[in-house]
Amino acid sequence: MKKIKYLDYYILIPYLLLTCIGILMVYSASSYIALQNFDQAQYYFIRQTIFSIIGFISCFIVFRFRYALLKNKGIVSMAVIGIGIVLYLLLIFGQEKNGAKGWISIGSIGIQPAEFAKIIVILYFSYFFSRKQKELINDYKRTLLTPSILFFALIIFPVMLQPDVGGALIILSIGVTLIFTSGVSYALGLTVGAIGIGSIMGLVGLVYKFGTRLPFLAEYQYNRFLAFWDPFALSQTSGMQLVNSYYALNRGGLFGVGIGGSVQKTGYLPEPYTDFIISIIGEELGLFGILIVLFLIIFLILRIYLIGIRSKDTFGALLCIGIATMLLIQSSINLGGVLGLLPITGVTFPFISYGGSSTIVLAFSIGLVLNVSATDKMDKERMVISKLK
Amino acid sequence: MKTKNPLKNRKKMSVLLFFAALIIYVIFAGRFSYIMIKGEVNGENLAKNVNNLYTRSSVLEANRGTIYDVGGDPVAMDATSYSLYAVLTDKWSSKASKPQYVVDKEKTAKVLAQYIAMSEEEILNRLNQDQDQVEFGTAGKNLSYEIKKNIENEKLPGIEFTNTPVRLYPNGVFASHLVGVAQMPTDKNGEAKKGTELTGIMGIEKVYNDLLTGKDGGKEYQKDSFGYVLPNSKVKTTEPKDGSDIYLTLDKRMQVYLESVMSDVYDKYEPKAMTATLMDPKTGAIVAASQRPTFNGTTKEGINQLWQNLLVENTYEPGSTFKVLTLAASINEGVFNPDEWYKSGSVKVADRVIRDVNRNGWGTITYLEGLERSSNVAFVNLAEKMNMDVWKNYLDQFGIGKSTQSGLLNEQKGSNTYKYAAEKATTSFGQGLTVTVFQMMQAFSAVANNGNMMKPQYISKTVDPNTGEEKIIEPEIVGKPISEETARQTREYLKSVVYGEHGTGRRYQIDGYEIAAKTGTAQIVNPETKSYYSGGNNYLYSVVGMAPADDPEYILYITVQQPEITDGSISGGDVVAEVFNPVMKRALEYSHVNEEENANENQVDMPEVTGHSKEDALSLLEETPLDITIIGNGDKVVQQLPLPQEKLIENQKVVLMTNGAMTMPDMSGWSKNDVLKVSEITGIEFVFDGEGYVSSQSLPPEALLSGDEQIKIELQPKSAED
Repeated sequence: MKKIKYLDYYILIPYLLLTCIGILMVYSASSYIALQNFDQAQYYFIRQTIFSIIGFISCFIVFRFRYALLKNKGIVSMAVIGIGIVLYLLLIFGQEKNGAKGWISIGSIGIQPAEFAKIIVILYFSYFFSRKQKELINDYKRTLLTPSILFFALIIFPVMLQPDVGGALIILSIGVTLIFTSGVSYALGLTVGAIGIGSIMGLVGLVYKFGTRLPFLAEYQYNRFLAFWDPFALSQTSGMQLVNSYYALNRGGLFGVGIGGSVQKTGYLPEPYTDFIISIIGEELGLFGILIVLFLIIFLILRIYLIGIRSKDTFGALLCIGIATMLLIQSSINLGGVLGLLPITGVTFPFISYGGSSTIVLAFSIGLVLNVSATDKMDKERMVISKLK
Repeated sequence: MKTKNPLKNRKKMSVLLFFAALIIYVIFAGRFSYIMIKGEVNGENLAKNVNNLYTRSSVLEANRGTIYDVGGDPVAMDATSYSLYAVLTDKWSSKASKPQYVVDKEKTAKVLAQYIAMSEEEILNRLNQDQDQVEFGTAGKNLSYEIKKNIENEKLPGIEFTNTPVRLYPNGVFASHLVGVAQMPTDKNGEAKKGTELTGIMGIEKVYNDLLTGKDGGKEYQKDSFGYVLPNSKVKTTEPKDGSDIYLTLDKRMQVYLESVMSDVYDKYEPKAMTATLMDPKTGAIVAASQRPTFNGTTKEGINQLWQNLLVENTYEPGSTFKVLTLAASINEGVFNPDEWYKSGSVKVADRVIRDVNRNGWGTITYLEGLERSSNVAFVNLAEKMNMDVWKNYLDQFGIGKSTQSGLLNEQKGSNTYKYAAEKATTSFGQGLTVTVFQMMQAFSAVANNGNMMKPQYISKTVDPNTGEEKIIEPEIVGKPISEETARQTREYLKSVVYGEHGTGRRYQIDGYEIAAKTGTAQIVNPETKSYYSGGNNYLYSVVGMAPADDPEYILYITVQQPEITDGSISGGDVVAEVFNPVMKRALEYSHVNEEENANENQVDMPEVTGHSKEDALSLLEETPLDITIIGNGDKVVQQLPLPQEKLIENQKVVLMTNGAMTMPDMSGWSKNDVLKVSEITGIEFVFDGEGYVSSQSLPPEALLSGDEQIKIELQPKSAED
């Protein structure tokens, strides 16, 4: 059986479309700044194109092999311990950008290990839970103890220390979601989820009321909350990004000012080709363009959840649920920031924002999903054939 | 109920997530639609905010109108001065390839030292300060455009300029209180306020501020966040409208000469105050007007001694020069008989005895002799002969007690209460009433201009540079208090003051011209005791002269208050004559030169030599009758004074500055004005001692001008009679 015949186009096509829109919009959004900083308008465009090609190739490679091979203690242990070591080393040797030591430079290429940590967490939990299904039902507390400790100690903790609170929150959310989709009692999942949402809201309430008098809240973090509540009052400082995001969206209107026509990207809106690329899409392509992008990404997310729900293979199913959740959380935090529904945390939009590590990790993830989907179909067909026989 | 099937649990959670994702995205889509279509968040109108954010406007500054003399020589003009500063920090430099801070401090100091009056070491000291940016004191301020351009051509990173509009008064002391001053409004620290323009604070600059001030234009365009104009955005431009130019009636040649004569006399006798006004009686045009104390318009030196324009703001008892009017009125009434005899010495009016200067009188003399001797008794008699009410009518006709409506600030109208008999009588010899210089000039013009009294005018025309429209100020007859014949006779009799055997004005004779004049020695009221000063030099010495007497081209009226005369052989009148005679002579000569030659053959246009090599410049100037001085040992002319196109007269000093180190020229015999040219061109200040022409200089010729030490220039008058 040729695996390629079982390629899931409902995944592949949205992925390719989003990647192409990403390359195009990175070019449009970055050209002005690239010209200023590098005397070359195509600087980011060329790099993003290369990242996307590398991503596509790795997606294909990941699709080809048997994903069950990943369900291997050696590989998973190496990945988890490896990323743990890298994240700690980062605290010493990492390069600082926007106040966080989150980067390793190899030549002119910057690598962001936290991006890789996301997929490794998904891999690790999927591997672990798929092997401990029975134990999870019988004694979930004991079963969850070891992976939870490892998860916090090796990944969440060093990322927090960078400090990249946003990144840590995303990985934490992915991890927690995976724990409660692992097969433990769904009532427990709902309870913890409700408690989680409740405590976050309580925390925000505390911040609102006490501000920097809270011992754990740094000045710059509090400013993000302030900027979120009333960006126009702080439009020159911490509210500047959100205000200019609104301006970009408003300029776009229904059909946008046309590709290349953004003014907000000319220095008004910081990070126009990474964190705020959606705002620039809104400005240049209008609500129409935004809805297309939203449709593509939610279609992709729902489709991946669906594969996870349908899959008979627990490992594959958990991988898909983890990846879909990662996409959902990351895109939601990004859009929430752009729209003023959440504080701005510096999270990029999947597939579209500029970024090598993120592009490649996402492509790798899509490769996995395509692999799970194709394998699942093949298995079902085999079963049908064997029954027929 | 606990589900024991992990698969089912997982599916339930996944389905939950599936729908949660869907709901979240529906919320996002709704929020996007709201922002992008409604355009309002947190009550802010986004479209309006965006427009405010992008639109940048810049002001296109209008030039203030230039004030010219009657011949078109600039008296007050706009200029820009540049101040140098150095950026020392690299935090404003965005690109390593284009540093915007001082990189090589030694080289920068070395280069700058060639252009500003500060030593290399001192510049280096400042560049080594631990500051983001530094200035260079007075040496780095008020730089000319040429210097700025030269420094810019050196392409020193981090060396920047700020520019401030300044008002330049190229002639220095030049009817300064009349012309006035315009400057940038300043804040408490003396720094020019931002967003303001040159504003007149005194004199014509203030009175005509609205006319002189242009209307700033502007540019409005859409910009990116770096301030560059966005492609495809329309630039809305409103052109600036420059202010109107004002042409004074003042003649630069006469004014400059009058100022130098006034300065000499002022320095020599240190009077409390002096005025001198030269008027063309046919038109009322003020040809030259000066006062002491005065100030230098550009440097403001001396401005705080006196803010009052003595021509219109000061009232005083005029004294005997006023008898010109009494004489004219009595001739007009037919009561003046030159050969009639009267008893001089004293006359009783009501309960008061009015006396002549010589309290015993000169016996019984004719009225003509009474005029020559300036006998108060004669004029009281004449007024009584006219009848005091008739005389009052003449006073009114001559405009006494009424403003001349000059339009100048704080113009006073003087007073003439004319109540008591004695008071009425004293008005006949210029006491008991107060006047302004302008009132006197106006009244005298009736005598000089055959009965037609001319309003004193100081503006000949205004020109709107935007439309080219000229508004000519026509001469204005403001009354005819006496007949033509009366005026002619009055001047005829006034000649005897100058040429008569007993004339008090014999010292005002000028060879070749007939002068009609009247002297005055008025008592001054002591402001503390409210009574007249007695004795000493506590008088207001004055003279009014009209020449040529048969058809006057000029009236010259001079007042000198309380001169310090130590030499017993010199009288107050002699002091007045030291101004009157040379100025009147020069005025009459000029008007003859003008008549005879029509064109000014000895005038040349200053050529443009800046930017030429020294040799080229010298050959360009070879044909001209100008006196050339070169400062600096370079081979290229970088600055020149006078500026190109200025009209120069023979032997006028031309100062050229070359590149390279500046050297001190030999200034012996130079006028103060010429020394100031060097000051202006080099930015080095000189300290003057004395008045007149350079007799010694503290820095020898050819020595390097470093600007570190003060250079003292001693001036001495060439001779009393020029």
